[in-house]
Amino acid sequence: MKIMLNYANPANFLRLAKVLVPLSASLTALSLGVGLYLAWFVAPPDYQQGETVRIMYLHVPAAWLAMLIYVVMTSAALGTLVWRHPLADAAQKAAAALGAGFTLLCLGTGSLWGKPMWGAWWVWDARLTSVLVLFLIYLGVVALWRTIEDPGKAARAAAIFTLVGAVNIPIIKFSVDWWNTLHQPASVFRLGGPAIAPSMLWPLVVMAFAFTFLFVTLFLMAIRNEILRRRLRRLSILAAGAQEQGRAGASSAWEAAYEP
Amino acid sequence: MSHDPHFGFVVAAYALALVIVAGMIVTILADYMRLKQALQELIRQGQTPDSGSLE
Repeated sequence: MKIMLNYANPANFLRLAKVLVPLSASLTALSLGVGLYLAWFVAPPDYQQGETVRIMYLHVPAAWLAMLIYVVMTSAALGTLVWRHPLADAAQKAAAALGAGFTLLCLGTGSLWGKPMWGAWWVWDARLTSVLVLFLIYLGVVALWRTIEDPGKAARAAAIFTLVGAVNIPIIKFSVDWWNTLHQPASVFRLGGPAIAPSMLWPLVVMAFAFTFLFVTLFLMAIRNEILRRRLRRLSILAAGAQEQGRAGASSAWEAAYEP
Repeated sequence: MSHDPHFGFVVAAYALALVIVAGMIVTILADYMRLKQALQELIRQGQTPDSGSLE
């Protein structure tokens, strides 16, 4: 809690971001390079799916990130509504657009994987539909931020909307167990350990780390942008106020000069 | 590898990932440049940055 309050100060956060962004970007580049090499040149083709299985190394990390980012956004929403942490709404706004991006990547790669394997670009099964709902929720949060002019009101509205939408996360996770879906059940995070061969699991784990580092890098950069945007708004208001005062001063001087 | 009949889907998936990830990076960097430039312009006009405030 003390650490949280310490970094509530935007100036402290900006100093921290200056160190963390290059570090996280380097880790992203390194893990992405290793992950792509493993996914393309080390991991074997699947005995049934052939080369198409290589889509998994993008699709699965994107799907994990899509849900993880929503959990981050939900924590930020609690930070806004319960603890009134000054950076929580900036974090929530920053995460929403990134969440939409990773969910779009998950849906797009899933569709490109589904067509050759299932014979369909899209099916209305519970997993696919709940992820589509997640994408629409992300877009809804982005839209709320863009349409409500007052940042305080926008933060509260987006936080409440995010908390309501959080019910979708367990639905996505357990949809493959609760309903009869075309989408396969969990094969990594499941009771009894991963059902995937180690030669395919390790590239997947490295790619998952790469995507997570990518998200952390972009998230820190986007929060930094939000802090700058608020500073810019504040300075613009001050500048407009100063201009108004200057005009009023000039006007009263003119009136005084021409007063009979 | 490229002899697989569905190899085009794999390439399309990676190309889509490249477009989306590059789009996110470019958008955030462009936003950063724009904000920094606008802030510098205001500071040049005499406004002092108040680093501690977030409204």
